[in-house]
Amino acid sequence: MGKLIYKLCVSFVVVFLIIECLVRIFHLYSETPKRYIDEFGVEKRVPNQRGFNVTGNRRQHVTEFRINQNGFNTVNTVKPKMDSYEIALVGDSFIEGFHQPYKNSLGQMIESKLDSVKVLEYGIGGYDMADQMHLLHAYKKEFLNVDKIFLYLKFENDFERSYYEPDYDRISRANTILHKTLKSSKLFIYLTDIGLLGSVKNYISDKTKGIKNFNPVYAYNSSVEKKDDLEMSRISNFNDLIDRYGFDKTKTVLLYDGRQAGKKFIAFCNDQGIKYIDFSNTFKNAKKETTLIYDGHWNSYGRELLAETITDFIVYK
Amino acid sequence: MLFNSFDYFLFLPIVFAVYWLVLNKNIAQQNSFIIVVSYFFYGCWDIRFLSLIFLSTIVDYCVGLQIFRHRDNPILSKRWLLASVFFNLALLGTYKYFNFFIDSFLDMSSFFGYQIKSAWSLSVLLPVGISFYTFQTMSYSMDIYYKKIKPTKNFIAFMAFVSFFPQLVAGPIERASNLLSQITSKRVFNYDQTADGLKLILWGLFKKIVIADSLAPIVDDIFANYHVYPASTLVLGIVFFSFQVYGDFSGYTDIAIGSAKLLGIELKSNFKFPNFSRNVAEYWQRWHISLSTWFRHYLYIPMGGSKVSKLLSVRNIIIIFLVSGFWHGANWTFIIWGGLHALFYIPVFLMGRNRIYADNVIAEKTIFPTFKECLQVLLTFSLVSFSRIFFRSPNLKDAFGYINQIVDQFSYHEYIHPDGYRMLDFYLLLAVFVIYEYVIRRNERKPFQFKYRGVRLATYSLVVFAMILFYNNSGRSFIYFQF
Repeated sequence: MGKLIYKLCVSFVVVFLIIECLVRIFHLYSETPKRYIDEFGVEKRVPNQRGFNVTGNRRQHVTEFRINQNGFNTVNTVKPKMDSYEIALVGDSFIEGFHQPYKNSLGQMIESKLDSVKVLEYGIGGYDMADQMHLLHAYKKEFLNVDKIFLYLKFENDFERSYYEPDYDRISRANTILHKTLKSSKLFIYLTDIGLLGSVKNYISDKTKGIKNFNPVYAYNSSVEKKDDLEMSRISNFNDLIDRYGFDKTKTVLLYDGRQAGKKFIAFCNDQGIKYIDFSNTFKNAKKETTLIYDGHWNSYGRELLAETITDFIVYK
Repeated sequence: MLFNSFDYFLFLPIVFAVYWLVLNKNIAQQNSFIIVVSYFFYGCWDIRFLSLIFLSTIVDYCVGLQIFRHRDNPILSKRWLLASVFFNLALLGTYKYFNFFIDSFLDMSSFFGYQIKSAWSLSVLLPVGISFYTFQTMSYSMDIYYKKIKPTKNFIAFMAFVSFFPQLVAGPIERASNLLSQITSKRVFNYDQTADGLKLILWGLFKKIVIADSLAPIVDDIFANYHVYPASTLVLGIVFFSFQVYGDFSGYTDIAIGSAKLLGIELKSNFKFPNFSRNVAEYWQRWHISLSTWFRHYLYIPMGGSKVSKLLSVRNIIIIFLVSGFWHGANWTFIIWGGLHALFYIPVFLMGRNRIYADNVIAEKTIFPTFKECLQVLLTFSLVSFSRIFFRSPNLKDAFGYINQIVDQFSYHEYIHPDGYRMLDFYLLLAVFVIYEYVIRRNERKPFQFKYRGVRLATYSLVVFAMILFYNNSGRSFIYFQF
């Protein structure tokens, strides 16, 4: 039995090392640029990082990213100026765009359609409306020179907070020795990316929940009233954010998929004179898939449609 | 509990540790432990159906003793045997075939103009593996009747024999002469046997996760939407299904044999590289061996086998294949599938070539196969794969629709994976898999038989690496569990 355990351990270590090498050789893992919180309390990427984002088990989708000196994944490094026309795109991972080559981002597509217009992209994965509105507030001097600001909104999860608070815990967690050690294994990163470790984690949490859970489980109430309450609470959070950080209605436009937003929210926007672009019809009538198969972000065609929609808005409205 | 689930990867090491470290001094304790963990293993699907296994165990235990007691009285012993057969077939009939017979009767009545409303359909779940354990217990009674073995009086050992978890839900269908004799003997921990078991488990997981489960979404898509695809895609669907079902079932079997080895028990081989068969007869000597030998010993030979006139032998072959098809499922598609195999087998039998490859493999003494062997393998694979259209289709209409579409839309279009994956990965995967299986074709029990440890470790690493590359968290069940 001792021989069996010894040989199993040796085999495990050797197999682990060989697979670690294979994962590195074929670059199956995805690189994630580090985050930090700057002096304004804005969470963003550490400037000047480069790397590759890989999606799928077998490098199904590989894109290069480049974090500019401002801490955002974009080609442009310029600061907005008074004498030129600039557009800012602010949002979460859809705007950050690790799923797309940084040279072929939504911003670059808009630039290619409009002469002498610069598009600045301020996207960070996980940003909600509190993050976005705080960013505009924190960099208000910079945004004074921006002519149009588009805030990308995912109604179903972007209005969960009424104020912004920097997540120092997340940053410090990412700097722990354990986290750094695990992240130094590319195999670990790869297994996390493809969801294998997630499955193990879920399995363990399910099992422990079964043992520990003595509390009754309350089913999620999906009734109409509950949905209405949720929508009202989101609108109220938006209102609080506006009060706290301000909202320049003359140049700020919400960009969202109307299939997810409620009627009350749209009425609220109309009532408050908040401009918005609802691209749901454009996507609904699209002739091809608008999102990537592997991760649900906009694919090249989806971004192209969106770039056209935004360009039309700028030109005609 | 599936062999490819996290549950099993907790379950098996715990069973292994308790079995060898705590209960290694006493066979009775080990057997009792096998019963407990086997019932737990099966109970994870549906605790209610444990009663069926228990009932089947009691009936055949008692019947076995009665047959032996009346061994000098052929009429009484036959009656007891019939009681066992009747009981087990009644179980199968109730849970698996009842609705099929009712529906077929109603269809026939409707064909002759009588519209009868069905009030007889049973709404019951099919107990997992019922066809396997009922056949195993039946074989026990029949072996006693044919005086091949003596019954055991040790009920615990017999319970362990019937419920032995590695092979409980999808075989191999074991004979008492092999399994029960091991269960009643003292087992000693053996490093080589355990290591071989672990290697088989690894290889079985590879076949299940990498081959079967990664091809499954493609096969599902093609068979579900066959009416929109051209012939090239439909042929791809058939070929992929052949590999899927092989990877699935032989993968399951390897894990079963490997798990049994960990407990010091050797199960019989169920697959011997059937994809390299040179005719359909050889295919059936390499595919689901435990089932084909079961039918051979308990149906074909008692009917006279091949020791009767050619005409009667042909009749026996047809019966065997039709019954085999029906065993797989209560659907006309399986019966047609069996009928097709009979059709492919009979010419081989009439030419006297049904046993010529029984004791050798392709390219037995050479590295590469001859051109003739390649053609033979290709023809056999094509015939077997064609028959699988019926095996895979949910009903006859779809099966014939699939064939019709191949003929009508005889063209080539590139197939795109339903989830957008590169198809080249799957073609390469299958090519490597076929080449590797060809390399190890002489011994199905030792998939990693390399002289140098470094090569073995590199191979394990590549196998695990492939499992990661083709991992998806669908957690698919095994195809043969439905039978």
